[in-house]
Amino acid sequence: MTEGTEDLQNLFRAGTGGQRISPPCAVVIFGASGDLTSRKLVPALYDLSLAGLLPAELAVVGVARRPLRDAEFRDRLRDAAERHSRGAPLNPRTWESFASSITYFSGDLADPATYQGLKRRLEEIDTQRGTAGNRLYYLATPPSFFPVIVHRLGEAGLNVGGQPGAFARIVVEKPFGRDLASARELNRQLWEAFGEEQIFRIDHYLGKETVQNILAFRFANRLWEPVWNSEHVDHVQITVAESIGIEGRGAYYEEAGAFRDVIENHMLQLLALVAMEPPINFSADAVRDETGKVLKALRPLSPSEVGEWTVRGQYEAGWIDGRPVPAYRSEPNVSPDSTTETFAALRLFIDNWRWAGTPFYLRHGKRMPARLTEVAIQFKPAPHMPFSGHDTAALEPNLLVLRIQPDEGITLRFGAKVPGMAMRIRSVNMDFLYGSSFLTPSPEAYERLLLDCLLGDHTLFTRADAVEASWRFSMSILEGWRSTHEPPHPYPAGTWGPAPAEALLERDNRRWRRR
Amino acid sequence: MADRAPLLEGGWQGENVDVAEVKAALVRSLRALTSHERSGSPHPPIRASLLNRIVRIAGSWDEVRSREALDELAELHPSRTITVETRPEEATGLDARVSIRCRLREGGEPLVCFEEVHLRARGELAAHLASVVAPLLIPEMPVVLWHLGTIPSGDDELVRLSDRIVVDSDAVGPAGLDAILWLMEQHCPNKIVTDIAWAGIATWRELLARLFDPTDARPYQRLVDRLAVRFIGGAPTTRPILMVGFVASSLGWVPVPGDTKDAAGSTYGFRTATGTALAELVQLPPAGLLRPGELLSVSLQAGQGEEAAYFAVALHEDGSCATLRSALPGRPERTITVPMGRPAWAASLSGELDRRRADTAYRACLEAVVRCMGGPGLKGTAAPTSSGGGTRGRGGDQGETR
Repeated sequence: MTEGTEDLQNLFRAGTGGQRISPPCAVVIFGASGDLTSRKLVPALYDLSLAGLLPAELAVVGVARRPLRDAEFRDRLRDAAERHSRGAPLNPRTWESFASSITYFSGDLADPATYQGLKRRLEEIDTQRGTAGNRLYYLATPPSFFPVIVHRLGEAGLNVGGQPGAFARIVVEKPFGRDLASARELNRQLWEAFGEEQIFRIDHYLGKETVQNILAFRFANRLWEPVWNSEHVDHVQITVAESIGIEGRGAYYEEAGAFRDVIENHMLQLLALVAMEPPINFSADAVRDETGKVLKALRPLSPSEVGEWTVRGQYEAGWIDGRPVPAYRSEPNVSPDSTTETFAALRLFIDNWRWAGTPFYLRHGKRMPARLTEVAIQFKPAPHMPFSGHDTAALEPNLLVLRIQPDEGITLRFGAKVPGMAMRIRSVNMDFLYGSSFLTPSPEAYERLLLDCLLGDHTLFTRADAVEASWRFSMSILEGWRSTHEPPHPYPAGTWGPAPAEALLERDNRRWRRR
Repeated sequence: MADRAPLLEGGWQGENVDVAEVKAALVRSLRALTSHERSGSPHPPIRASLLNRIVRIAGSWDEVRSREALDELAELHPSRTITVETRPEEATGLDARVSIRCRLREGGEPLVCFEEVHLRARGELAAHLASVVAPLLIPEMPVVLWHLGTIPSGDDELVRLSDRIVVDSDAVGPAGLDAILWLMEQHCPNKIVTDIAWAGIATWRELLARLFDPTDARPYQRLVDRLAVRFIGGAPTTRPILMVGFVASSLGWVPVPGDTKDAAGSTYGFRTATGTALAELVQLPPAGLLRPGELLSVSLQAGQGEEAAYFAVALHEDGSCATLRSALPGRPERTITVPMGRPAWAASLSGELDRRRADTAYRACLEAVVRCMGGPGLKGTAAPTSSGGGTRGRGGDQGETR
């Protein structure tokens, strides 16, 4: 009965264009006892199942070193889902139905026997739950485990589907290396066992609805593209500000710093979406070809430019939201004489036809006054102003702000006549809030991205060439900083960064939008 | 929508008013409620409108019913809503009530505001509704007419004014379905007609479809020869028969006119590509938390004996979730339990309103239903005699499932 059935349509979906429902699959999570699994991955899978986007033939296999019974593992995940799922409070019946798909597999991640045992377990699951030999491996472990897991999976023959025609995919969490050499080495290790089409490098930023909406805003509207270039745009500011500190991640942060943690990946991806050319379609490669071109066109900074056009900062003690907060150097697991940056700002140029000569200013910091992510497109003034200088004293050039979080939306600033007898013109804001037109809650980034992995859609995942292009540009800055040995500029927690960050824009006769 | 954000409300009302007064009141009320001083925000809250919604009210019961539905839907489709009731027997005149409602975000700051205008057209004005409704519509926004208590006639002024029509076949019962088909075919070929009852079974249709997403289940679709739809009796409903129509039209079944029925339900016969099929509607008494008219289960059987496959979607007693089961020969039974929350209704209707093209599945379903209830189904027939769900005198309540 199953021979040649792949082409048969589901008659109950005729004319609906189908549904983005995952195929049967076993999702294998390495690092199953960790925070990411309980806070993000399992709640996201549960929420996907509530939304009807997962099939009955789905299994979740948690893999970690510590011994744990299935029931204990499920109880632990239930507590986590209760706290982190959008579907909370949990309905006991839907949770039990979902939880019946979860099992735990204990083993040493470096031991080949673990993978032989896992292989047998997955074959049993194929028979019991109809997962059809499809596998999705999720590396939710510290990056140091990536190479050995990938190698052992390949060695055990788990890098291919468990049945003819079945798939095996692997999801890798950032950071994708800590410099260009290690990123290349990680890619090489991945390619030893998996093809690029099997690899999903996940940057949860790209799963955010409002980040994806940059594409909709730019390419579903005629209005913006004609002015989206250096002819009309004076400059672009991208700010990712966090009011929180390092939240107990001192050891990690000491190694990473603000640049590696956020700018090298999230912000450059955001920049690529803002600056890319229109893709020919919304297929994974068409979109990634264009974002990749932007990253490859980033002009590396010379050592002297690094000194002039980048700023590193580190927060000192201060006050946020009426509460005192400690200095970075007083955080747990942080060296008292640490020179790790918690703030970075820079000016960069994209060397292509569209953006030649237009500066992009990027800024990211911890312990800033507010949590805020936004892209501000500052347009040039009108070429000729037929009004007197006095009448337009309160007029500023057009500004378009794409707010990623919070208050997701768009603000457009334009000039309007002040009511009255005189022709006085003032800037006004037109605000659009996503929450006001679409009152439905957005899916969590991990829901969208996990579903994409299960469906094999790479559009929102970073390709190897983009990873390397990001690092190639980033290395010019990181090496510049390393060669000077200059400590970061201090700034009080609760401020928009150190004074040199202000000076960076002032040298160009500009200023940060938020300061 | 139990955790819906709170509302801030304001408004105005007047008797024997003209349209200009209503428009002025609308502007005044909106300004007052959304003023900077009142909102405490540097910018006024958003007045969001994705469409104009005209709600034609047949009576007070309908008003309550539509109000509830509109509130739920407003979360998904902010709009200017104009509700219209008529009192032709009273002295000619217009009474109006304007209300502006703002959803509040955490901390009480208005997030989004939308407005509702309630009009009571009395006397002669009841026959000229477009003259009072048209000036109050937001230009450049689509106009959706909700005609809830009855099926509108094709020459209805408000139908002409609208881009799409929303009806609720549940309110008129199965006998009114051919009036909807007639409206679609004869009067609104270029307008989208949406049936709330059809949107109400969207989740069921989706769950049924999910049973056949696995490729090994799909060959059994053509072999299905038995359908049973169980539902709660006690109120007029079209949902069970629409479910039959959906299955029949999706699987290419040809209705064989003439059904059998008894107190417990009805049975309908079909010709299929491989033989014949039987659809059974089984009515159960009201019980527990479930409401009259609600579907309880949909089950399909494909083939007989050891080679038979079974598929079912069954609602749990408290209505909170449903279990999907499929049993294919030689394979382990597949079972999954999914939520069946109330918001699914508004979400599915919202999905229907987002639809930019006519729903061919609904139309095919209607044709199948009308034919299996004994009607010819398509063109070339006399118009229905009544907009209140009247049929063409063929079979009367033959399709009633109560």
